[in-house]
Amino acid sequence: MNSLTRFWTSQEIYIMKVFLPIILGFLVLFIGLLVVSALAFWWRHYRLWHLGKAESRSDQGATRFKTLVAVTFGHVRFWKELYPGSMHFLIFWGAILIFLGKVVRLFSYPVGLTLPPQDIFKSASFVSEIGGILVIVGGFLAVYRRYILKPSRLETKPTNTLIYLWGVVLLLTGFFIKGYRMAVIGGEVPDWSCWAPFSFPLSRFFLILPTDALNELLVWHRVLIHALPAFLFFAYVFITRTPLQHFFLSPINIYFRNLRPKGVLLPIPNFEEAETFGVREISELTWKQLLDLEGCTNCGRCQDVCPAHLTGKPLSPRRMTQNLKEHLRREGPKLLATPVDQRKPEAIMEATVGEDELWACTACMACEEACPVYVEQVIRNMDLRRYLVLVETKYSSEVRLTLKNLEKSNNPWGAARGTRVEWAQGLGVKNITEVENPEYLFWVGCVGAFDARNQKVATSMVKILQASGIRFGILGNEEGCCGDPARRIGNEYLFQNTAEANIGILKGHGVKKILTICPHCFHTLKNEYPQFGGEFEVIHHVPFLAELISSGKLKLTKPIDKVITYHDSCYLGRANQIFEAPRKILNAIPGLKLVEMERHHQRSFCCGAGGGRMWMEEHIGTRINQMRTDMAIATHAEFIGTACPYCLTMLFDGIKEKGKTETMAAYDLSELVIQSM
Amino acid sequence: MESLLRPVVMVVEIIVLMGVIGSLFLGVKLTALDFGMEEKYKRFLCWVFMIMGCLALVFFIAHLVTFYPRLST
Repeated sequence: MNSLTRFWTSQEIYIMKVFLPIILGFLVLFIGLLVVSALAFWWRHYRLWHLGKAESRSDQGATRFKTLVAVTFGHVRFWKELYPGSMHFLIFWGAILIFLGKVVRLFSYPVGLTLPPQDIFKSASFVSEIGGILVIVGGFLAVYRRYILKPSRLETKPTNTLIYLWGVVLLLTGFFIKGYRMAVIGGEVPDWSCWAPFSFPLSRFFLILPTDALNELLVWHRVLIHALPAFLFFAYVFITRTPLQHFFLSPINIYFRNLRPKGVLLPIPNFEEAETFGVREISELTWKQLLDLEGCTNCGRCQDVCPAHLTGKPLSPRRMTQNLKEHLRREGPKLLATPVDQRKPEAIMEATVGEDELWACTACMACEEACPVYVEQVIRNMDLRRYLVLVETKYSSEVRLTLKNLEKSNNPWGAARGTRVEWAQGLGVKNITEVENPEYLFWVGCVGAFDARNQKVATSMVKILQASGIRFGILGNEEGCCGDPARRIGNEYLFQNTAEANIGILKGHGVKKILTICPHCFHTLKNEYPQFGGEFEVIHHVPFLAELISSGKLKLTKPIDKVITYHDSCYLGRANQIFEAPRKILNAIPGLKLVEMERHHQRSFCCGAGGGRMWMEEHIGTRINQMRTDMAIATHAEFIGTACPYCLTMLFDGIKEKGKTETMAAYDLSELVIQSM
Repeated sequence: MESLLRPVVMVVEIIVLMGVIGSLFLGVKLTALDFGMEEKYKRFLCWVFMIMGCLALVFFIAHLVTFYPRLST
């Protein structure tokens, strides 16, 4: 104990006599500068976010806080990828432990923790040592990944290199200083070998220096090569645009994350009175969308799951977000410095986002699912599309035709309104008006009504409903498009008209429960119609069938001796979290063996038809449906099962395009159920 | 022994000091670019920092050779 006392005392005397006033002066100066930099940092970002439009994200505080804690401290969204997840976990927790240890150290002198070193001081030393070791291991993994493995999704800029270099310097010098401190006493230091497992062995090397020299080195090193660079490092983090700012910005973004179902678009407020629609310039994004840009860590997870990017389209969600972030930082300060009526903001499209890039998005939400900090991309893309479509009327000829068909015929194909019910001829399907006390309205959807392949799905569903003795009816020729294509393409005006008309019809017939075979109709009717007063109980046919099977109303007895792989539809799975019901159905069919594709459940891969892409050609890169079909072929399955008419069409085409029609077939689950009944 | 060790610890010291100087210079360069300095001055800044870095290196070597304490082994 005596030696420990001498250890700290000898340093204290030396510092007190010679350098303490200088050190204190520097400490006050740099801490002051740091505080000013930190305040300036928050003020700058706060003002930038407030350039955006209002949006309410303050509800459900407890849920938000729980997510914040789970994601930030538990890294729950990071573990999907073990290497980067572990790497980040080590660095994050290492930094936290170093910080905790440093806080105790900072306040140790005035409260007398160091004379002699008390337990809390020794624990703080241990905590920072472990933190340092974690950061070294995590940092090594990060450097190896970024500079040796070089995954394509990582963009390495000089600032990334600087962070590693500066970090190594600070860690090493931190350990050096602690080593010097222990070496100063010259002899054995009981206990410290376990309280300082890294610095203590290092301190034994410094015993080659005489005590006076060690004292001098300690002071100079502490000030010049550790404390000063550390202060400057924090100042650098606060005043520049280093990616390290995600340490502060990403947790805020996590807290204000979207708690609605994924992919739900919001209506344009005051549509009739609005002077412009969608997003032309950066200040037309909401404050949360601006925060998204700043919260993005540039980790590239979104890019690795984006079907458009993986098939060679000019869209990378990571790059688009980073480009928009650059746009915000270029334009934001200019806008803030100019009176509102004199602002001439630069348009986002063309300057920062290309048209092909924007139209390549399939609105599949894979990017949002992969993002560890909940950056929302899809709604922003749709907002940009709204501007292009409603204000600039800039879109491809296919989109023009689709919108024209929707306006004229209320379906994307432009088929005559009176032909919508032709698929049901001879099936004995009744109009809802002819059914006494109908339990369900069967919403067929445009694809089920007009597409030859999907008409078979609608037919299967009708037969199942009839076999189960369920009272149902259809709207017949009164049914129109649900509006999903118009909304995802960006024609909000057409969507709102369509939705309001449909809601009027549904309410007019007293509809309470709607059953549909299309996840896009399901998502729109269930999650988006309430925005216009259309509150219905909407059920997709997959959970409905699963319930019929589990309750024994449907008996599946005929075996189907095949191997099947199930393709999760984006709007059934990611958007509405229906993952297990389809698998329950498949597992209930005798003889059918389910195998999973490489990407399934939340990580499922889009078929290429979402976001209005069903009605657009793929002129650039390979076809997304072919890539998805390749994934299915790799499982050696004979069937591909799905529960979405868009997906069925795309996979059906994919099988043909891949020349696999002899060995493979795509089916909707209702078709398999009817085969097994 | 001392004649062998002293240059070794001085080299370690210089590596650490140059790491600090390198970090600071790169930090200043990136901060300047971040604050709107035009890209065309980047090369000039690099040269300035390289020259300053060399001067710092010469200074550190001279300083340590002259003032670095003698080892007690």
